[in-house]
Amino acid sequence: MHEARSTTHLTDAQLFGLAIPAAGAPEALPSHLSDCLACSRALQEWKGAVRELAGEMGPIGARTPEAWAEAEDHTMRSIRRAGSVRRGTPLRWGVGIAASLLLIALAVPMRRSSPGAPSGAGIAASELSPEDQADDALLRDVARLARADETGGSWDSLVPEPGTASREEERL
Amino acid sequence: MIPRQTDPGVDEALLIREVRAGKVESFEYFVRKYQRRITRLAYRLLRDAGEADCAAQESFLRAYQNLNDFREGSTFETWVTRICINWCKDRLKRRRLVFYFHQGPAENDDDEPGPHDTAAGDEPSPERRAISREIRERLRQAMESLSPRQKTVFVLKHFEELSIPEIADLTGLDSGTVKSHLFRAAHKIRERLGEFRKA
Repeated sequence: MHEARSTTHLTDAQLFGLAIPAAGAPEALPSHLSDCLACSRALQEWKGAVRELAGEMGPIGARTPEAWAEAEDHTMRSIRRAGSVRRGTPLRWGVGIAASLLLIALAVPMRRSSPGAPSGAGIAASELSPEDQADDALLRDVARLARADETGGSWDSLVPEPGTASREEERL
Repeated sequence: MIPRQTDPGVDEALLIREVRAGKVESFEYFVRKYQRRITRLAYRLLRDAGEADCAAQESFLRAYQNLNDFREGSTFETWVTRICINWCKDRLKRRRLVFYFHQGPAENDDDEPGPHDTAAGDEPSPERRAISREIRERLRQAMESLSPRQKTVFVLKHFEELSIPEIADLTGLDSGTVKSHLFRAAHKIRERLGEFRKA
């Protein structure tokens, strides 16, 4: 197309850049354009080609009103076949949330009653180190005392520390 | 250009409420009014008349089926355009995946008068027509190198002549991202044009 150009002429890429500025806003024209009739004409050709490409509709551009009406009828037929409008998002979300809650409600008790679930009671005492066994014994004592606290009175059943028994008797 | 103002004589919101209530025939207004524009947009993106028809029909069907998701603040045209753009983008992605080589419009398409030809008072010379055809072919080929998103943004800006905020609204991108895609698209086309020149 522009085979005879010297190296100073604008390239196709430069002409494209001027015809379709990257930033969307028109770019400053190079001074070469005002001196070179060939490049100025080439730029007009590029702008025209871009406009034509934008307006080029191929077979769609040559479609008759009857052909358009037929395409629209075809769309309406497929819409009628589709039936009614789907339910809205809030209802769909509601169904989804309800299903999730149901799953959680089912999964939690299953997990609790699962025989494979790890628990302290399931571990044999022989597998624990002496320190762990001592800790376990301590925790069991604390738990037992806490239960007694809830039922009331059991703290009194503990063996009093030496020296505190006489004071208790005096108070009574 | 898309989107346009809605017809002042028709209450589209009322029609949508009717369709939601089960009156399917009220949807015909939207099909008759917007299907041509949507088909043209799809053609600009896909460059295939059959696929453009399919894209338009599928867009209206999806718009109808999901009409309950349509927000009242928006216009139906914007909404169906958005659906169509997404459909076309998916189609372009699939084309790239299967390396489907898509030719531009048929050879005889160039014989149809474009808007530039008809607008000009004097008939362009055969040489100028040949030059214009060659430029268009190069541009078409260069545009094939764009990613689906770059191509969508490029077509909406330079062929549909939409503003950056309008493109952002239609594509769900922010304005900065739209500008970035535009810049990259133009850069890639320039590179491809440079490669043609070397070849």
